[in-house]
Amino acid sequence: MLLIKCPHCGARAQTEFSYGGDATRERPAPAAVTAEEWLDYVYLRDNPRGPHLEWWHHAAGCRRWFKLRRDTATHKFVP
Amino acid sequence: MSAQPFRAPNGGRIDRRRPLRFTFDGVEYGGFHGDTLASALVANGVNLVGRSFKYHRPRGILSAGVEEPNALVQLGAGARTEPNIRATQVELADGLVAHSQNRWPSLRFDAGAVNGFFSPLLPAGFYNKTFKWPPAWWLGYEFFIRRMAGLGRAPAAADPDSYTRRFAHCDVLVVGGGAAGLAAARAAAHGGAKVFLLEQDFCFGGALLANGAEINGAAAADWVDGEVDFLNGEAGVTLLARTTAFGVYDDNLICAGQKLGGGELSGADKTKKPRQRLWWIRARRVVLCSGALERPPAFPGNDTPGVMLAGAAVTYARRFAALAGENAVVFTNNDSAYAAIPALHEAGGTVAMVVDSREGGAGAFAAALAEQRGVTVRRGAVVTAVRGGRRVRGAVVDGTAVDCDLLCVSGGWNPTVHLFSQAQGRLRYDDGIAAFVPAGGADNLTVAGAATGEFGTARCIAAGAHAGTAAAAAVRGVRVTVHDVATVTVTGDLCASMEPIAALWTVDGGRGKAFVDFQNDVTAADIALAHREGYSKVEHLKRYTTLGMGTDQGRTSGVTGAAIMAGLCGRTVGAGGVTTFRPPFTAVTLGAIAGTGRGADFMPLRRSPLHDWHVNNGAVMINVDLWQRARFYPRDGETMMQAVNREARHVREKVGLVDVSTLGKICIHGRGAGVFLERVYINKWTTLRAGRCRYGLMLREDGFVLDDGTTTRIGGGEYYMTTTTARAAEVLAHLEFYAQTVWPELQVHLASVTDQWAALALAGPLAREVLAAAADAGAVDNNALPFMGYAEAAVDGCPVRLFRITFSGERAYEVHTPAGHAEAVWSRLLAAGAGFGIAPYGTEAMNVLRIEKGHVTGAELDGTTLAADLGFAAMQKTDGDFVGKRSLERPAFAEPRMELVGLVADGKKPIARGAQLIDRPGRPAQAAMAGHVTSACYSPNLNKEIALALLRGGRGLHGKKMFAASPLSGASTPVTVTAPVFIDPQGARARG
Amino acid sequence: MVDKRKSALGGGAPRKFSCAGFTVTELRPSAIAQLSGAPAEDLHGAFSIVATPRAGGVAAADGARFLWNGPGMFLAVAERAAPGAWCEQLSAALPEAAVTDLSHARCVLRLAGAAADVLATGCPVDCGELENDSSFASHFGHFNVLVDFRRREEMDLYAPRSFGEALWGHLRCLRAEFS
Repeated sequence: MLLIKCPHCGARAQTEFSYGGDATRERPAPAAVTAEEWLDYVYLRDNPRGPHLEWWHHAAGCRRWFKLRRDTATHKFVP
Repeated sequence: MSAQPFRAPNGGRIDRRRPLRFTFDGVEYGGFHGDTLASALVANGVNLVGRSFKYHRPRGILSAGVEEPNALVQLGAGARTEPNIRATQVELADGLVAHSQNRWPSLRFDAGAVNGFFSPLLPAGFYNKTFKWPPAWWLGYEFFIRRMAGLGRAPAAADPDSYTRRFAHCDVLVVGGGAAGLAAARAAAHGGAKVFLLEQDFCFGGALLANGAEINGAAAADWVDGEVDFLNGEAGVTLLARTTAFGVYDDNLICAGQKLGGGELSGADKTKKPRQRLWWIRARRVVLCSGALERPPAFPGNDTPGVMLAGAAVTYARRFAALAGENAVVFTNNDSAYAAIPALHEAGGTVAMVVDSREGGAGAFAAALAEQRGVTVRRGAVVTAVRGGRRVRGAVVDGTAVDCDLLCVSGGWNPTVHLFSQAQGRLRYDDGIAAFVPAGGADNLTVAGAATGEFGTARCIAAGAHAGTAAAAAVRGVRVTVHDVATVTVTGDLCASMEPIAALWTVDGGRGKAFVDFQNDVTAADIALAHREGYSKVEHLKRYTTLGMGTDQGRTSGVTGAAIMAGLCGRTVGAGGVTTFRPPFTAVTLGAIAGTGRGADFMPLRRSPLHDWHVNNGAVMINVDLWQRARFYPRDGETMMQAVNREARHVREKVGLVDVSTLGKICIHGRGAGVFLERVYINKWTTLRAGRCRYGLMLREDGFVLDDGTTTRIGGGEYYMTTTTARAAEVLAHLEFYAQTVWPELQVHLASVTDQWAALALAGPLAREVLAAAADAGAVDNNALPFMGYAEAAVDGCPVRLFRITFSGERAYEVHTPAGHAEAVWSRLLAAGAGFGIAPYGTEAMNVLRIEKGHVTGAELDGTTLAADLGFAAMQKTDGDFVGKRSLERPAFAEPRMELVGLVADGKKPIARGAQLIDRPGRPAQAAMAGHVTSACYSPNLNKEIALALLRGGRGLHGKKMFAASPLSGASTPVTVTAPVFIDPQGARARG
Repeated sequence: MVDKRKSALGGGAPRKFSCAGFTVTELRPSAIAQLSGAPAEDLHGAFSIVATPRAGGVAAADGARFLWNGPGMFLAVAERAAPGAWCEQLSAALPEAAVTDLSHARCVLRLAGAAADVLATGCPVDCGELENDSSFASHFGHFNVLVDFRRREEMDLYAPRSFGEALWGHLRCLRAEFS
């Protein structure tokens, strides 16, 4: 059970959060990208072994979304 | 009352003033408070305790602790019975009932022993090669295999006991309350840390409870008592005995199982307190002082009852004053086993001989022990066979038979590194002790004492103190400069000067089965077989032979088996490694894992503010997701069908009232709220005036429909959104993501108000009349409150929000009121409507009404449908962005799609929800599927069976005759495809 | 105007039960509102609260408590003011903030006695280092709760109204452990 540092509430247990996946992808302005680029944003994600920037939602707490970098191999949060 | 023939007259840490009675295999015995079941059996001379798993060989007690592979008993009876409990870990209680396992008809004469004769056909891995042919016999094989498999029996009745859990936080968690652990806890507390000390036994002390050494002039066990007293008096220290740390998880989250109520229950528990507690402890630092476990060498006959680990014989003698045998032979490759000499002598036994496999024999201290007591020592010798079947009668030492009734064996000690490995720690093989030791790699977790492979009481105490000091300092963020922990003086400690050992895994030159894994009956020959068959990696060896897969998890066999295989492969033991350690360290009951999460607590249900009214007025309730809802209100012995048909008819003929409080409701504030809605819904919202509602459809970013609902512009910058009951939480999280991370500049504030507002739907041709009669004041005519309008009013003094929207298709008003006023408003509406024949209706009738109108719900919004599929293409705005819009341009979406249609059955047979739509009946499983039925019901307003369905190209197929078929049952219903609306297609009933 | 409304746990007197280890009492605050986009400094100025409320802290004013709920977010609990009046007062004092009436949306239970230990049977938050008058949102078993942590021996749990009956039943089941 990970200990996750919510930037507002401090370190809390993983059970208070829900996971939002890759946070490196920003929603592009739909009109400004090609169809491939748009569907890439919607469907495709890298699955790196190592540091991974992720969305976390403090669903049982302050309900803010925030980003953290976590090593997918060791589960440790890295700066 | 029978005496305990093998109980030493003095000594032991048992309380002779508190005798206990217990029963094993139907025979009553005596014991004392402080005994384990195993020690009491030893004291009573009971040495046959079980039959092995595969060969049903007679087995005795091998150890005195968690590593026990043989003495597994069935504890208790009835609903509280527990199988596969190690007798060595059962705290004896008065009236305890235990039975041996895996034998029939009795332990002494077990029919299963015949397996021993078939053993050449049952080597390791035989499961891979047998019971395959012929396939027709598989179920027959299964019948017998199921009866033979397993050891104990699970209870058939529900567990009458309760369990609990506790979250805790500490600075330093010390696992293991032996020499190192006690010292670590004291030192950490001294360093200002909040300390938890966990010990799986019911006494603290670990190996010190059987050690003949003196610490600071007192007996080792007395020193333990003093330390425990001190720690109990420290405010920042929590001592938990009977608590086994079984798993290390992320960020030093340690799970531990605690036995409450003074140990194993022997009968009915009168207090109703929880039986076990599951601890979830988050520790800043962990100090692992889990000690080491002794392992036996493999030699022919080494599983005969009476062959016991030397350390266990010492423990029974010293801690429990129980003599495991009157005349012992000791077979060892290391000094520690020599402790059996003084221990057995003091308990009234004798040691005939020490068989030391080392040419050079023992170190000075151990050799002196043997000499003082006049015990013969044979150096460079091994035991090659055991005489005796149900009990050891003698040992064969290099060809010569030596009489004995107890064979104390030791092949060395394995540091208990399980939790360290779970924490991603690395191991290395230490040739000096021929065992795997920790070698770094675990974050914020250190190991001290025998668990590091360092033996000797003084060294363990010092190491524990150092580790505890360092851990406390790390928590405070200071460096350790000097640790002013009082040092201890230890005398008479055998382990203080242990010579390096020569590894002794198996004995060569013997005939007969040499067991490595006692519990799963894996012999040295089986390991050789696995090697020949190519399963020589340790993980393959484990699974092919099942070595280490029993309830003891290979504690006495894993390293030995890996070492034997390494030898066969010509690689070093270290290079081969050991198998992965996984939690739990020892078994955890499902009850403890479930905790209070049983019955009503398993999934707490939510109540509408009108719940009590529904129940008190005869509603039949149903659970919908997490909510309890009124399903229908039967009158005068009505069946469900009769009630639902009556309710659904009544709404269209007169007027009905239904509780829809479970709808998700979200309050949206902010300057950018209108723009925000425009971007999350497919239709236009910035044009919505205050006092108006609009139906909205929301997509996911991939273009598929997420949810639908009605949003109203309340005014004053506030919007009020409703969602489906099932998707309320998902929609809120979806909106929060976009409001916080994608469009934060809109400064939109979202608040869930699902629980704030009760919602009632008043529907039917007479709805307006009822509302006018119920409302305190103000007009509710068509001008004041037109279709899709919003107004505020009061009913019986309670503020209400009125929304002229309809789900049933009739003229209808949703009446929202703060939850505490729900009953007053509901009752006033019923009273006002009495003259108009109002009747409440439930979710079943509500579903019938909406199907008749073709209104979609979650059944149609299943995540695979587009707005266009459902007939909402015209709703999609062409200008401006909204979530999912760009994805709609996917070329795949231009291909023929499943479109929403209606179905009318051609006869009286109901249309099954989920049925497949096919062109021809006959062989539905092999027909091309053109679509499926999403919702279906009997329509009392049309007197027909109807349904909604998704059909490929459905909009062009109205009038077509098809079949709604169920491939599972083979039934098929002839249907006609229609438009997805059956009543009032123009929607005139709702307007005006 | 007489307050005729029903509480989360039904009509009648506020519920209460006790056992050796703890007591649970149903509270019925007069008004509750969610504030969003309300900087802590503005609260300080508007309601004469002694100090700027800290993140994770509870600010007490005359007849009201502001429970920190997130950045710029507070649950504003009034003991005496009626819901409508309370929301108006908050909107007037904090014109930039969003005010949402939740007066009917919560079941409020006061846990007293071995409150921290009872909470620890289901909530993973470390209460050991918490200052008095702190607030935190977490889960207590299956229930999402906002905790007004007055002190270790007394705390108020704010749960969604619809879960009230289930939470009450769950707490009653814990009596066996704490008797």
